[in-house]
Amino acid sequence: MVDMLVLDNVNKEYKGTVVVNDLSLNIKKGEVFALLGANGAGKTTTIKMILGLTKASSGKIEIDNAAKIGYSPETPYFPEYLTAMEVMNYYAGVEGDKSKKDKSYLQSLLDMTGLSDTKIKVKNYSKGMIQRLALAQALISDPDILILDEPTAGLDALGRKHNLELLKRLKEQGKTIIINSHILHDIEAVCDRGVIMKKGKVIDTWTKDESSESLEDKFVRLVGEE
Amino acid sequence: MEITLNVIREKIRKKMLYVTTALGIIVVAVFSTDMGSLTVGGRSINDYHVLLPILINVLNFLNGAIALAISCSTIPLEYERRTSHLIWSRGISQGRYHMSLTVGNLVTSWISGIILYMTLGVFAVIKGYADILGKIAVAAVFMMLYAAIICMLTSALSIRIPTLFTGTIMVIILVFGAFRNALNLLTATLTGIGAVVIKRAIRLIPNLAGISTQAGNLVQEKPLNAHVIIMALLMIWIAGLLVMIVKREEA
Amino acid sequence: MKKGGFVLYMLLGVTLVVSGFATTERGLKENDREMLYNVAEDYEELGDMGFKGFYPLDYKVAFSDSEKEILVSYDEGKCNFSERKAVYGGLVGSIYQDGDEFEVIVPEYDTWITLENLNDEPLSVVIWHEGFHAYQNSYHKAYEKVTSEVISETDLSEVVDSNIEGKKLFSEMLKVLERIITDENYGNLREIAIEYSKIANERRKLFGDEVNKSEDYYVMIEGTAYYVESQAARLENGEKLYRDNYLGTASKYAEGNAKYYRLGMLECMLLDKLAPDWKDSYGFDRTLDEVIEAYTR
Repeated sequence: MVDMLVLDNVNKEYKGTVVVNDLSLNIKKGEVFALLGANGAGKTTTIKMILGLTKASSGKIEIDNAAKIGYSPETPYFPEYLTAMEVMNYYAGVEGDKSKKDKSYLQSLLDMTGLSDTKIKVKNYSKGMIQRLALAQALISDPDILILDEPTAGLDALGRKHNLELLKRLKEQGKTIIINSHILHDIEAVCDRGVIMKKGKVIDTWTKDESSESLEDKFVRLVGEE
Repeated sequence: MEITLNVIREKIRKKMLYVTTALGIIVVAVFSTDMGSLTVGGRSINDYHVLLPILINVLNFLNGAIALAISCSTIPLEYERRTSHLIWSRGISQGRYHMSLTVGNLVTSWISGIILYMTLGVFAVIKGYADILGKIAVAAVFMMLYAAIICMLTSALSIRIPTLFTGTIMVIILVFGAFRNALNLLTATLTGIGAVVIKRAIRLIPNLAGISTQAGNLVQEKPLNAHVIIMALLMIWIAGLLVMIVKREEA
Repeated sequence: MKKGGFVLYMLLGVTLVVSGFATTERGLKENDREMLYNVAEDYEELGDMGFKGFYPLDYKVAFSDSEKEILVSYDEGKCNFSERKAVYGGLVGSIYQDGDEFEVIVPEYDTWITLENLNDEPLSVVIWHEGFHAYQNSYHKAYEKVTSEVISETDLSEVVDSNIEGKKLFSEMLKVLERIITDENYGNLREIAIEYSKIANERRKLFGDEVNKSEDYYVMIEGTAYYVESQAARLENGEKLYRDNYLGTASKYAEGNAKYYRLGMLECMLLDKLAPDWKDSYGFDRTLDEVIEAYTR
């Protein structure tokens, strides 16, 4: 399989503190990859470096040339006076691709994430609905790589199930997905493999169905020792 | 374009814009109603031809304050809310992003200024001075220059400096710039090395008073000082360049 | 920004910088030049005001920004100018002696305009005032005659303004003279002059020779210049402001030196009425009190 994303000995320091330490990853096309770890493990910084939101102190990050990236943040903010369709229209405009501003296309993305009623303003949205909207806007460019920071956080059981199904569908479409999540059941449900990070370093890898130990047990064993 | 429009839309929804605009309307109304025995240069201040240069100064200053208030938090708030993540991750350069936000601030300030000048026009008509409406319209162009300087400098500073500091620095620039003539007069009384340093520092402050004076000259059919206008444009150009080149380390 | 856009933006910047340099006023600024034209225009109306040989633009005028000055020689509409380091620091309206010549030093218009907005005194009027000092000195050598005996304004003020009886009598002197400008039926001018001289002489007894001579000096030098200034201001600002700013305050006692300006102006106005040709024989060699007394005999 083709490498969509390669991180080669990537380091990130903030004022002398190493937050990502010598990180190397190969994420292949169509793979659903998990970044796991406790708070402060360096997962979000890794995502930020991949997205270009912060520069790596050293090392190389290579993304497949033609790849488009969609990103759904952990705590998204959308102007509360806008409706979901207006938010979608806004980000479609920011993309600069006129074809993506097509209303029926944007509506299809909202339908896909379970936000069919587009007349409700964001200020009346629950946290889960905002999370879904974040996912919808990440899909506008029809990305090859989808980076999702806690995509199921704040969702109720039904919402989580819906989102996980959506992720599976996106995987079937051949999209490469990188997920940062605390909810290990969700990771097990959709991810193919992942890394467990601690203090900026990869301390172990995880591959679905490869071990008899559940991800949760492994995680607690490795991360919960402190 | 979308980013700019979104800023305008958001600012128009903020109550602050309405409060400050209402304040401006009150100022125009107060000046336009009977001012009793107040005179300027021996002429009654109720004469709109006398009043206009004064009102231009007051309204430009007021609109400058509105421009400052509108601009100082726009960019920091984008980063605080992490809206910036969704823009940077779409490959939009910082220069383009910051400029789009700044233009949004600018257009909103202009909208506010135009409302103030329209109020001035309405009161002029009520008072029977419909003949000066054209002059008021031309004076509004100078208001746009004035607001652009404040808006763009504030936006440029706000990229890297915390909002409180940006606000403080810009309030000083606004007040010193609006009262630069008085400042020149005060510093002219000083002597010594310190005075030379202060005078040089004052030259760096945008000549906002000069812009209002040119608008006043225009409405009173006095000659304009092209240098003041060109320096104002240069100041806007510098601020624009800063908006495009000053960068954040992180989104 | 795309490369093409950036190049255009930089070109715009270069154009603005070049235009900025091109439009910078060098040498004599237009506003300052305008002030000289105003004085020349005033002169066509006012003439020498009776002071033989007085024309403010006979003297070079320096417009100072307190660091450098533009020194201008005005000659029938032409302004020849040169630049030099400011001879005085700070905000100054004064005269300066360069060899045998006296020059007028005033702030540049751009600095003065803020003050003018507050006190309604155009810069051209300041040129009239200081120009008169230059005239007093070059035509009549006024300063040479008295300077050594005059004490400073601050020292004089300390003595005079703390003397209650002196203040009372000074106020009375001003009140007597005020009648000629406020009361249309002021009556017999000679009687007013006698009454005034009587109070003035009584007041002189309160102070020593040094104080009296110093007061006489300031009244003569500054009072006459203030009188000239008031007539120029009357022409430039109109009758109402003249009344408000000069006549309206003339009879008010002021601490410091301002009272001598006012008294001198009122004395000149009394003399104008008492003996309209008094200036013909006046050479700043006698006090104004002496001139008034002479006309009462």
